[in-house]
Amino acid sequence: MKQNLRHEVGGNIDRSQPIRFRFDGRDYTGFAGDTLASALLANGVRVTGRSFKYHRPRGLMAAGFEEANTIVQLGSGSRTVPNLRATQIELSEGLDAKAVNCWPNARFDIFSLFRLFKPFWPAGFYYKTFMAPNWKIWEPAIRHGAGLGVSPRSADPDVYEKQHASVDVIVVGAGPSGLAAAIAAGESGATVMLLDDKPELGGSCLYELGAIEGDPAIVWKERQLKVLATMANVKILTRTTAFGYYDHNHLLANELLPGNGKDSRQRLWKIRGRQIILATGALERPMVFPNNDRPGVMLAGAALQYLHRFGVLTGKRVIIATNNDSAYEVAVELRRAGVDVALIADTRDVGYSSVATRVRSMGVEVASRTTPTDTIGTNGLCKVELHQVDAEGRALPGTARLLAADTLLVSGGWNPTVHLFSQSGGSLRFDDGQKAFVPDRYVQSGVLVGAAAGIDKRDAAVATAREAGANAGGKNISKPAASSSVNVGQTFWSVDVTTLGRNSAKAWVDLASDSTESDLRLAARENFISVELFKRYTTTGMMTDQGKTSNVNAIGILGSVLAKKPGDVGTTRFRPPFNPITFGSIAGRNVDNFYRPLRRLSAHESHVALGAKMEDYGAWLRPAYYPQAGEAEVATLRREVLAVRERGGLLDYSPLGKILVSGPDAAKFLQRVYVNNVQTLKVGQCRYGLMLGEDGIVKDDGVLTRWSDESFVVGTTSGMADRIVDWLEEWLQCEWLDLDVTVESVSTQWATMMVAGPKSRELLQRLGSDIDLSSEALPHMWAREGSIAGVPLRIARVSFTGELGFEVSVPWSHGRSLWDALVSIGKEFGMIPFGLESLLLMRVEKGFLHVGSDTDGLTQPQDVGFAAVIEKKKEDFIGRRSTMTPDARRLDRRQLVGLEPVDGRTFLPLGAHIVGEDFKAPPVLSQGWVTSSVQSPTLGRPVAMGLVERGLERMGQQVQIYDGGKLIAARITRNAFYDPEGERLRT
Amino acid sequence: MNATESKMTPSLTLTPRSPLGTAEGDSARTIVDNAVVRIVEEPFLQLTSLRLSRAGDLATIKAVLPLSLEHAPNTFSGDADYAVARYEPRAWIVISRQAIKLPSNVAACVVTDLSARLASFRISGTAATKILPSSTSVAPVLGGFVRTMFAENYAVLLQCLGEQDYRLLVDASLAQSCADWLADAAPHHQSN
Repeated sequence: MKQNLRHEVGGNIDRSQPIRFRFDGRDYTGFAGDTLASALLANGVRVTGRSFKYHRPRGLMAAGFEEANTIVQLGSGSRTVPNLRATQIELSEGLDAKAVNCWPNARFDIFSLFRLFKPFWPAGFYYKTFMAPNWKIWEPAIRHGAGLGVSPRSADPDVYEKQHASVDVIVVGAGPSGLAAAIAAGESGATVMLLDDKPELGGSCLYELGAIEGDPAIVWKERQLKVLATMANVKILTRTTAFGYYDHNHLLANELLPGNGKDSRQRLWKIRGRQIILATGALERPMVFPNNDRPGVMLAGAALQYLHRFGVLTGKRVIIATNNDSAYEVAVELRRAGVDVALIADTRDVGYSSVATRVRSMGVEVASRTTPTDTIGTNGLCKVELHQVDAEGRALPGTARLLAADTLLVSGGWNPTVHLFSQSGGSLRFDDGQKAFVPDRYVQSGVLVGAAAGIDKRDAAVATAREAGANAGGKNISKPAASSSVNVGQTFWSVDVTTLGRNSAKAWVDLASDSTESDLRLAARENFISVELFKRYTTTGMMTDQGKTSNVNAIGILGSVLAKKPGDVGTTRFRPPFNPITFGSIAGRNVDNFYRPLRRLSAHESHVALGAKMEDYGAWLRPAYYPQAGEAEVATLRREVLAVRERGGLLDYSPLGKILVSGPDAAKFLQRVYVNNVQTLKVGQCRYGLMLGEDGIVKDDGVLTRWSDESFVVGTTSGMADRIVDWLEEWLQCEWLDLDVTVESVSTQWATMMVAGPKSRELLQRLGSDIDLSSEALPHMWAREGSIAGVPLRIARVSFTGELGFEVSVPWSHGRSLWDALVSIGKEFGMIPFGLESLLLMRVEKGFLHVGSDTDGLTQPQDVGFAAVIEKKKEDFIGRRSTMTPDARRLDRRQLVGLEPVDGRTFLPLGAHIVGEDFKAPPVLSQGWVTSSVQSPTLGRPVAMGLVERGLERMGQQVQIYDGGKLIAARITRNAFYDPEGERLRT
Repeated sequence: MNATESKMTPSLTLTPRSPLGTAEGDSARTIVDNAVVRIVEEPFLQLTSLRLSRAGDLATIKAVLPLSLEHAPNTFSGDADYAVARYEPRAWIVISRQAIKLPSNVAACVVTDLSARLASFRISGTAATKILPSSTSVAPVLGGFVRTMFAENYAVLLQCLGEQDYRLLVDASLAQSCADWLADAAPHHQSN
């Protein structure tokens, strides 16, 4: 198709490089340097999208990130990206894009029938309509229909990178103010990062041709770029959009990288700056009048960008509607480009002002106190109806004009782009002179400059930006005051057509969310007058553009309903991201194996060589079991458990947390940390203990070993090791500053192998060490230090299997060697390696507690058999007070007990609820649930543990276990099903 | 000779291995070696932690331990062969290629051998200054030594030995994952 709106000259495009692309199933051609939007416009494509709710035809309305209408799905397959703005997509050969939220395409959308239902879909309609008979009935269908575009169904094959940086000054925006600030900061010797979302630096210099500091903007810009090129301390990032401004001047930005198939596709920058200078410019406001969303209605400033950046005309016959002076410059430039500018309709009385006189001299009619009241056309603008208006925006009957035009350019004023500033915590004030919200109170180190600060005169903007940049090395940058040179005579926020006997049902305020003026007025009538509630009820500002072009108009309209000034209505706070970014960019390379790196054991290779089934346990890659060829898991577990019970087995137990707690007050400290009595622990002795949170809930458990009067090793579960270190440090650093204690994690300094079973002592004796392993020298729950083959050795006689057991520790570097030796020598005793699943099975047979399985977020120590320990302990400990509350002392608490099926055969399902003997049908109050359940190879029958209401006093009672409609009769027993007296482990 | 000793395995030797499986005497494992970056394992460094208790006095400790301890937190003194780094206000780590023996019973000071707990990588070359900032928020300058999050997942110690020369200490159990991450990162920083 011929590019019938491509101007014969101008634009920063390469006309020698035609680029073919596809949009909504049709092929087009643009040029290198085009965006998808400019190429579509050049090709005369009017309908580029459909509106969110009513599927009304929409066309391009802007030229940058404020575009609300043309949202596309880019690409296909695993690389497809939804919800991109056509204005931000650089054209590339073969690009394939499709409008979202329509079918089969934007030109003809079957869902446009939804328009017929508009009268029934006012603001908040779903809150009102879908409450009956029940929201849950409607919810699935509504959720299914929600959202725009589609996510890729398969994994994205591309790489996304992250990069951290720290500089003195970050400058966001490389327009005139940004360039001036960056150069000044660079000249002061500061390290600077200059970010801009466009591929080319210059900002408004690229399309607003007026002079800056006496030179044409383009010439001025080139001079600045030459200076920047000489500054090694200024790093420039183009195609990089700053989207998040967080505490401590932490700025997030997304960089689009030229794709060559090998390098990263996007890069997420995380930058800290001592100062952040926001030179983010200003966004033009649309005007609110009926049918202001018709394709062909655009922002006036956008027309200038399309003309000078891309050599594209927005139309052949143009009407301009405005309430300020800036649109007159657009008229001048369009007229120079040969466009028929039929009329400038200004809501003000411009009389013979200089701007009006200038355009009149070019043959353009200027109509004062006039504004559009309707547009006519089907899939594009054909005619514009205008009326004269009074100062309150009331259309005056009898003053109608109907003019033919294919483009209506509107300028409702300018809003400083304060989104990042708002994210930083800064507050805004309404400047009545500019009719815009401008920066007021800063809370972080930085400053807004140029148009973003409400300074629209370029020379003044550049001067204040330069000053800010030069001072950026200091602590306090002076904050420039907003000042406007533009004659903003705006007196109303929307035209009132009720004087013509019409309503405002089709006067769009938020094009992205399809919110109309009548929706806003309805919300106000229904008393949603708090701006936060108003926003949510009407969904204004809640779409992907975050209300860039709608928020201020909406606030103005709400203010006019409430007879308040916009500043008194207030604003909502802008939230990140300023511009949508992909999940790929957020994830970076933290995907697949890097999403959650798994820790490896020192003997990992040996376990793999032994055929271990390796699984993820709390981010540790550990052997679950060691199957033989063709052996099922159940059979393997049975074989391993019986081997341990009959002869012995070996388990790599290294992941258990080991925290060295030392110092003169170590015992005193741990006495406060543990439920148990620690101070009576003798040197060389071990004790199993519980740690609680301040809420009295069981936090972790493990074996504590005292290695000297002032030195302990706290054992933790493997998943909690790091968190317990932090927790202990927190108590020491924040609460108990009087205690002289140090904490050091030694979890992976030591590799620990569990040697369990009747022959375990023989194996260790055969292995050889200088530690006497006899029962007298090393009783149960004692530990000794020594050496083996010249290597430091620690042996603790503890058991989690119920058999005689030792935990043998050597430095991590020797872990594999020790394991290999144990396995090799163990064969002589019939001992085999066993995995964690077998261990967990044996601990249930033995009735040992497993924190996390047998406890939940309500379990206190008295619920798991520690009532006597608490009662006996005199000193205070963390969580003690919470164990003394009325709730903690309730007699009907759930207590950990054993459970056995009455028939001796039926497996008790894990998680199944316990109900009373008189149970008939659900719902009933649960009396507890099964927390651990196994088919015991040792006992040849199923056994389980559970948290059961009044469990301890109901010993021997029969209960019913409810599982998916079936009832299983079970009996409450002691926890320990195997060797309840513990004779085997004390052998 | 007692009964236990008579049954001992006579020739048991326990061979140390680095977290990446390198045995003593073997050449260190090279993760990446190209024109812009070289990443190699540094196996068997001796790493000794010193934690000064709240009651401890630095001057007293210095008198007992032959170490330079007064440098600012997050810096180190020394070089690649022997360095004393202060990574917390009251915590130091001694990094040495040679075996050193520090007294363990220093009053108000806990001396702990962490040689087996941490794996070490040496990262050098022009791309080092790109790979590290892609992985961690804090890249120390020359003479710096910091503890920081790596790969958004786990903490590491990072030492800047030269303008483009870094040492990274990571928990032994995460050494393989860290090596994989670095190997994966390197190709993305060849050109851009």
